[in-house]
Amino acid sequence: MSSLALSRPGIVRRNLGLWLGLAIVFGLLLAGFFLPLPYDPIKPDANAVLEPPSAAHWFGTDNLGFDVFSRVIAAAQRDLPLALGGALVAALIGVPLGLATTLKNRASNLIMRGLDAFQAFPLLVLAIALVTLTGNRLEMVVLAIIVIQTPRFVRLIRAEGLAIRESRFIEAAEAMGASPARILFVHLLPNVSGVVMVQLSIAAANALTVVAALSFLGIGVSPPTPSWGVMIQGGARLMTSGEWWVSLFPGLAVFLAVMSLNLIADELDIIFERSSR
Amino acid sequence: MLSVRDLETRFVTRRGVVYAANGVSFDVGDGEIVGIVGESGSGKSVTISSVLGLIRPPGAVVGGSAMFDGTDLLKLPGRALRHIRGARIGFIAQNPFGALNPILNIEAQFANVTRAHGRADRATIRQNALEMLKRVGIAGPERVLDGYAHELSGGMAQRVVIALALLLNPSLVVADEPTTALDVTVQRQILDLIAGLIREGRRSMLIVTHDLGVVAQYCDRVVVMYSGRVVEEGPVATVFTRPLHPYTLALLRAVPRRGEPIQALGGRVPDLLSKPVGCAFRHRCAFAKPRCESETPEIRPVASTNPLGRTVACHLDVEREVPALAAG
Amino acid sequence: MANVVQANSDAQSSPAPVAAQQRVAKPSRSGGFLRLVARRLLLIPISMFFVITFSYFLVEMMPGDPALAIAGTTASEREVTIIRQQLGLDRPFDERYASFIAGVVQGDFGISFFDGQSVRESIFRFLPASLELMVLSLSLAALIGISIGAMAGYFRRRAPDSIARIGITALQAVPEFLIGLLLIFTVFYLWRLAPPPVGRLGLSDSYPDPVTRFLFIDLIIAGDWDGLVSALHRALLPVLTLAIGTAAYFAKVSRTTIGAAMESRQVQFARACGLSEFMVLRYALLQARTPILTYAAILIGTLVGGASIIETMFAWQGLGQWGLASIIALDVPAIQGFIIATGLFSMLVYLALDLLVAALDPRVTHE
Repeated sequence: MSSLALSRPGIVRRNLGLWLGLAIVFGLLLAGFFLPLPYDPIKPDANAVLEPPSAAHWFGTDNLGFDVFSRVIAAAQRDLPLALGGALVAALIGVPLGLATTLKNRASNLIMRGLDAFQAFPLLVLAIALVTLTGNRLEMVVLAIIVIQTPRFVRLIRAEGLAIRESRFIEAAEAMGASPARILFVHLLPNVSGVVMVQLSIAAANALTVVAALSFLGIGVSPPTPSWGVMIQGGARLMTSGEWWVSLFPGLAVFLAVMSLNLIADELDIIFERSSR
Repeated sequence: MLSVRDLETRFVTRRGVVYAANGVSFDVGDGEIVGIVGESGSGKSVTISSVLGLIRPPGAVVGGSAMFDGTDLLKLPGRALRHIRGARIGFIAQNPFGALNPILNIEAQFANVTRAHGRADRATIRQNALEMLKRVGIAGPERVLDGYAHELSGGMAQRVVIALALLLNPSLVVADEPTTALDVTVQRQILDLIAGLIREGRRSMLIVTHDLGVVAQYCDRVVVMYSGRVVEEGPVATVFTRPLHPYTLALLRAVPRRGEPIQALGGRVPDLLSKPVGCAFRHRCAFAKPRCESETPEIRPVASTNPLGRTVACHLDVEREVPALAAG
Repeated sequence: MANVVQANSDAQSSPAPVAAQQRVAKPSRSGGFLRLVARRLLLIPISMFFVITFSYFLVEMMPGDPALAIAGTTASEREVTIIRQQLGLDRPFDERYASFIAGVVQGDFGISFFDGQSVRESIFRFLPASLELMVLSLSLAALIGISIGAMAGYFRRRAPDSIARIGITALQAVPEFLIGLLLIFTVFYLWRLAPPPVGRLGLSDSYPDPVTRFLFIDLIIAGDWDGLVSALHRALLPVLTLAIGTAAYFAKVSRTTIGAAMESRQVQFARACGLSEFMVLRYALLQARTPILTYAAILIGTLVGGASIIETMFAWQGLGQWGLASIIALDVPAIQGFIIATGLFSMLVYLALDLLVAALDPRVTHE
């Protein structure tokens, strides 16, 4: 269904938002890894403290003398893979689990009840607790994202799967004696791929705000590795004395990336809706 | 009473422009009941929505006129049109449970309609509502008035809708498939009720339906629509006994009759995504000629039947060829 | 926190309150209001069992020797032993778990490792401030968000809708703490329209007697009008921060639901009856009420305790700030108490929502 939509001519013009979103996200990611930086992002310059944006320091410098531009770009190397990776793993766990819960049995009921209770919490606080209690390590940030995002995939896929299960072709497959596993993975999975892609970009956008919030609190970070959240925190106090650039530019980076991921989700949603009708 | 000319309505969707009504013209005379028939997607509901000013974006009426008692409804500003809707033109919706407000009680809905067109105190509103509910054949009107839509049966709910439509004594009633959502057993009762109230009040009615039986029994004249166009129009008696358009003929043949095999109409209604060129029915027409391919047939009076006010949109020599088809 | 609320609050994944919507969609004549209340009340202990167990295992998951991690590197052997005893690490697992649940059921959450206060006391001490912040910011957010959403929904697919949609999408991409910082920079630093973000009262203001523990109410009781003005002035930025972030979500859900309602047969019939556009919009709002209320409930549930970062940023001294500080300090009894309290609070809010929806909708209450 997607291949049909994507193979039409004029696709770039028709889905401008999608390509723009993808370009920004991957642009940031590639820049983080490969862009030659004007200054060393982990070596401060004691002679250039709190300089406002200028030709020498495009985004200014912070109170320790770090070049904000270099660190904003370098932080993409850490923050984006964390968010994208966490969302991806959550999908890999959540989608099969969600498909499995479309089988109406006691186990799937229990899973759903547990998820209900789980979602009654302020999830960000839960993520903070999880990472802090387990020793404040980077891999726990990914785990926290997985813990937050997986239930969303489970719910979504379950809802979609249950709807598709009602349709004739699944009935036909069941009548022909296909095994439950075959029905789940051969018949259901391809039909939910659209919503999975949409949810994946929503989850990545969400995960990125979690990553930013956690590192804003200094959780799961190891200085001096740059991270957008840490940088925003670094400039937080300076907002009351007018040095806005220290927080604003990493904030804009988060905003740009989250916005792009949401844009991708919106556009994918329209594409899949369009081709399924 | 109502005179629609060259109505054009389009919807702009992500997939392209849908040409829903393409130059629709018809008349509803004083005291006349006119039926619009056609398959789903023929533009019949869009036509009445356009006339009532109910087309919302992404749709828009882009051309034509709808003269009602000397004013063009399509050119009327929203406020003035609003005062005609509900007061001088009543509307009977297709599905009463979709139309009635589930959260307000029935009395509040009568009150809202009354107050939309003038001042009235509670007692008067209630009195008028009770009166109207009695006239549509509701036995315990007080209880219905104090209750909610979901407590009513389908037939009862549709009677409430009819009461709301006729509350302010409109001279024209527009009904959009008023019985399709109901049980077969009550469909006839409701239609008898509507027709009775129309005739009794010397009102006119425009009724959209896909049921030819309904048209045959209740209507004076019929408008046959296909793919956003009127293909044939005329008095029910002559149109149904002597159809002139191949589509009308096919429709009539698809009606099951005792002792005869049903002749289903092959093919499908074309989608309205492309601006139609040529006759939209040509792909399903047994009579299609090369000319039908390139030229859209204009609706024209039929000479020999002209006194009867029949019109048809077809390139064939309908007076000779179609009856021959009907016979053969 | 609204960013994390996002998917949580989408129709596809919202928790308990969804039950309310489903019940409305399928009107049941046999329900009865009291029976609904009873059924919902019965569900709470079951869900709470999950929550309590979860809060227990979260701490149980700590790697290595939790007592050592909590006490820190400078602690003496004796301190570590005390913490170990308090955690019950010297007892077998099932016994610890059972006594934990027994304690929680009796309302005993233990004593904080750090300030030595009763955890239950602390929860009741910090909750009112969070409630005040939540009520103020959520009211403002609902007012702004629903107005924008209604406008966008009414003018669906026209210019106001497109502008609102872009605005909503953009606002949803800004982390809440960034909104707070930008407000501090503009409103406080540039325009000097707000006091510095350092607490609920100024240095020269005195705190009133804690009668209700709700600062605003206590100030009114004490008749300290200057103090009240000062407190409201200091509430401006935190309330605005949360309201702006949350308003985007209100706007989003009302835009979708009101937009859909505007195209419903009900609205079409109302229009065909000649009702004024104001009335038509009212009909649409009535129809969209349940989803919007559901959304509000989810936001209430997550904002109390979930507004930790904003509370901390403005030194608001609420439950969220206390919870966050406890987590970072590895104060185990406080963390457990915090999780259970916020979980219980959310469930009570969802219960209230279900009952409210049932009470408002004639299809559920009238038999």
